[in-house]
Amino acid sequence: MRFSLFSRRNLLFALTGIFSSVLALAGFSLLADSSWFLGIFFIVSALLTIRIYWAKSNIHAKYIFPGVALLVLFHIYPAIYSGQVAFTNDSNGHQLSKSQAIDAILEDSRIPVESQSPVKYQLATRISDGEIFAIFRFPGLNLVAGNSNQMMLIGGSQTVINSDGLVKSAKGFKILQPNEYTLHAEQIQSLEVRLGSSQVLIPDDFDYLTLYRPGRTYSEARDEILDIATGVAYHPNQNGQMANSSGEVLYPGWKANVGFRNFTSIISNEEVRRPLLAVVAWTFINAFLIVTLSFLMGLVLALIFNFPALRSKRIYRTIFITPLAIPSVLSILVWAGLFQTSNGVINRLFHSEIPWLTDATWARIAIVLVEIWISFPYMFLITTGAIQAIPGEILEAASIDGASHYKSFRLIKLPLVIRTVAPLLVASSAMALNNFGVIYLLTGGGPSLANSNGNAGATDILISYTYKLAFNSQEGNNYGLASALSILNFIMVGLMSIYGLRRIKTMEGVN
Amino acid sequence: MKKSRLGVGLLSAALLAFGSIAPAQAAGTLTIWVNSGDEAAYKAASADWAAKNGVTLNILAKCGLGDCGLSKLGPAGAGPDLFVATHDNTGSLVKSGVVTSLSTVINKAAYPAAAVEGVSFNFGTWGIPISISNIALATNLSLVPAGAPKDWATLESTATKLISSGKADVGVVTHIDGYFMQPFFESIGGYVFPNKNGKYTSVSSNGIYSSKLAKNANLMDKWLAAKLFDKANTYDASNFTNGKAPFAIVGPWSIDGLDKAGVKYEISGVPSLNGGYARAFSGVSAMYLNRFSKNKFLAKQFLTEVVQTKNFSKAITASNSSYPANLEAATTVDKNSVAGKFGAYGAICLPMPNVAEMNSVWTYWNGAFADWASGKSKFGDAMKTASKNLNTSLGN
Repeated sequence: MRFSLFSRRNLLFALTGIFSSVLALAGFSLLADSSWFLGIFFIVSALLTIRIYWAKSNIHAKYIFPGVALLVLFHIYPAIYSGQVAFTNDSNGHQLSKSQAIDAILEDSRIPVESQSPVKYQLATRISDGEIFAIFRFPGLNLVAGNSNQMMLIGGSQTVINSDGLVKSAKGFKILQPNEYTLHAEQIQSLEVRLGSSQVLIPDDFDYLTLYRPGRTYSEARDEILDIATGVAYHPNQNGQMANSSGEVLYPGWKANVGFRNFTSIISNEEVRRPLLAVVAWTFINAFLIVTLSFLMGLVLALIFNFPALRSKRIYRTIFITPLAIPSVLSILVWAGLFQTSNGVINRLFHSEIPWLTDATWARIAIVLVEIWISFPYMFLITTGAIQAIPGEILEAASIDGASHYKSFRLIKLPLVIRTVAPLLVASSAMALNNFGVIYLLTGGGPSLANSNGNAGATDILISYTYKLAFNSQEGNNYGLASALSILNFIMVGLMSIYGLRRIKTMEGVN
Repeated sequence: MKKSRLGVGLLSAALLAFGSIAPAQAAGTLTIWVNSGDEAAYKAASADWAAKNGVTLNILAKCGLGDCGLSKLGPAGAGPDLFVATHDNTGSLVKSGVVTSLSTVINKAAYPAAAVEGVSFNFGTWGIPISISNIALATNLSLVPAGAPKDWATLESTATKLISSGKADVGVVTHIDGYFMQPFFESIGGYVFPNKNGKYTSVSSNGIYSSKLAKNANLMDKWLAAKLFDKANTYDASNFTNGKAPFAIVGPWSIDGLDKAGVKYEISGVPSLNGGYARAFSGVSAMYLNRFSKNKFLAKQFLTEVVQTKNFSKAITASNSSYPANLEAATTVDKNSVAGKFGAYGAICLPMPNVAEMNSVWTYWNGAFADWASGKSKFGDAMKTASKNLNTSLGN
C-alpha cells in the first residue's frame, strides 16, 4: 500500500489527536483549578477518544460515545451538581471555603496602629529555597528579613548598604529590583511579619509595611476564634459560621453541608411555604390551560384547513405557522408592550382600562393568551399531520355506512389523532410546567401575591419562583434552597410525565 | 503501528502548540468591571496612567445593579481586580467576605462625610467613591409654567387642578417602590432605620410603620385615589414627556431620554409636607477591591493615583450625568446645570443604608408598596405588615 500523508485514516488521526489534546489540556487546567470532576471527565474523554477512534473495531462505540459524553457533561453533571448544592447552605455570605472565611475574619479584624508610621521595606528571595522575604528596619530592631514563617537578623559585615540606606546585597539573599515585583505580586501581597502575638506588619504596597494590631486570633487545634479585646470565643456552628455561646455570628461564613435542612424548610419555613402552595397550584393550572387550549385551537384550525373545498390552504397554513418562526423572546416583549394599561394597543383598541399586567387575574389571562399564541402553531402542525395520515378508506367507509360529519369526527378522526399526538401532548405538558421564558419576560412573575411580600407573584410558576430565590438579589441569592426546589420541580414533572406515558400505553392496548 | 506513531507525533505536536499559546499571567494587568455604558469614559480617564506605567487595563462593562455577581464569582477566582458597585452593597459584600479593606488607601478628606460613611462598614472603609446619584423631581415646564414647586401644597394643588381639568392623567410619574417613594414616605413620617444627621444609629428597629406614619397613612391613600400617583405602577415616562403628567421622579439616568423627547423640564428636590425638601436616598457609586485579586498592590496604586483624583471623578460623572463624589471636582460643576441641580438636592439627601439587612428591607418594603398600589391593602395596613414581617425576618 502506498503511503499517503493525506489519507482518510491519517486525517482521522490528526483530527482526533488535536481534539483529544485540546480536551486533555482543558482537563489539566481544570484539575489545576481543583475542579476534580470536570478535570477527570475531560482527561478520560480524551483518552477514550483516542482509544475508540484509533482502533479499527469499536464500531458501536464510535457512534455512541459522543452522545454519551455530551449527556454526561450537559445533563448528568448539572443534575448531580444541583443535587449536591441542595444539601448545602450555598447562599450569599456562604460562598467561601472554611479556611478562606477564617482568613477573611482575621484580616478584617486588624486595626492599623496609627502611632507607628509605615515602615519602608525591600523584597528579597532566599537563594537556598526561593522563599520571599521582606527586608526592613523596625524601630528597636536592626536590619531584619522576615516573612509569614520566620524572622531573622541580617545585619553585620556580610550586608552591603547603599548611601540611601537601602540594602544592596545580603548574604544568602537576592535583593529584588522593583521591576521584578509584579512577577511575585501574589506572594508579596500575602506576606505578613508577626512581631510577637499582638502586632503584625503587613505590606500595603510595594514600598511600605503598615503595623496592625490583630483584633482576633484563630487556634487551629481548638478550631476557635478568640476576640482579643473582649475575650469572647467563637466556634463553628451548624450553619457554617463562627458563633459565640449567645449565638452571635462572625461574617463571612463558609459553605457547609446542612443535610436536609433546605428540604425541610420548604415545609417548616412559613416564608417559603406560604407562597409555594399558590405557586404550585398555578403551575399546574397554567400548564393544563396552555396544553388543552392550544391543542383545541390547533385541532379546530387543522380540521378547517383540511377541508378539501378550501382554496389557498398553503397560504393560510404559512400564516398560522409564523408565531413558531418568530423568536419568542422578541414576540413576548412585543406582547408586553401591547398589554400596557394606559398606552397599550389592546386597551386602546377596546377603549378599556384593563390592568393586564398588574392585576393578578388579568395577568394570568394575559400569560395564557400569549402562551397559546406561541404554542398553537405546533399543535396545528402535528394535528394537521395526524389528520392527513388517516387513511381515506376508513372515512369513505364511514360515510358509506351513513355516518354524519360529526360522527366520523368524534368516532374516527379524534381517536386516531389523539392516539398519534398523545406522546407529544405529554411532552408539551412537561415543557409547559417549565415554561420559564414567557413568565419571566411578560410579567416577571408579578404582580406580587398578597401576604407573600414580594417573594412570589401571582403568575410565578415553580421554576420562576425558584429562579427568584436563586438569583433575585433582594432575596439574598439562596442557591441551596433554590436547588432543593428545583429537585422538587423535577420530581413533579417526572411523575406527571410517567403517569401520562402510562396512560398512553393503556390507550394503545385498547386500540 | 506506524500509523499510530504518526498519531502520537501529532498529539504531542498539538500539545506543544497549545501549551505555548495557553495564556500566561501577564505582569501588570488589571481587570476592572464597570457599569455598562461607562466603559469608554473609564478607559479614557485612565489611559494616560496605564501608558505611563506600562499596565494593561481590561475595562469591561459587566456591572449594573447589585454586587456585580462578586459574592459568587470572587471566591471562585472568576472576579476582576476592581469593580464598581453602589455603596448600599457594602455591608453585603463585606459579610460575604469578597472585598478588601481600603482604609489605608482612601483619602477621606477628599469626599463628603456622608459618602465615606456610605462605603464604611464595621471597622473598615471598603470603597473609593466616584459619583453620587439620587432621584429628584422633574417638572414639565409646558404644563407648569411657574416652574418647580417650592412646597407640597403647590405640588398637590397644581397636580389635582390639571387632573380635574382633564389636562393631565396623573400627577407624578414614579415607580411605586421604596427607593422612588422614599421622599413621600419620609414626608409623612416614615423611615427605614433610625438615623441622626444621615448617620444610621441602629438596625434593630425600623420606622416603616412609625407612629407618625400611622397617623398620616390615609394621606397616601387619598393621593393615590386622586391619581397623584399612577396605580398601574408601570413608570410610564411618556406621560411626562407627552405633557400628560406635570411631574416625574427622575434620576440622572433619565436625563438622556427627557432631552431626546424634547420636553422642557426643571430639576428640583421633592417638597416635603413639613416644609423644605424631603430626603430621597442618595447612592454612592464606588470602586471596590476584590479580596481574591492577584494584583492588589497595583490595584491600590491605581485607586490612589487615578480613581481618587479630581479629574477622574469629573470625567466619569460628566459622561453619565451624575454628580462627582470628589469634593474638588464637585466645585467645578455648574450650579444651574442639570447635574448641579441633582447635586444640590443630593447634598441634603439621606445616604441609602449600606447594611446587609437592606436585602430584607427591600423585599418587604417594596412588597408593601406593590400591595398598596394594586389596591390590595390600605397604605397603613401594608406598612404595618411589612414592618412586622421585617422585624421577624431580622430577628428583632
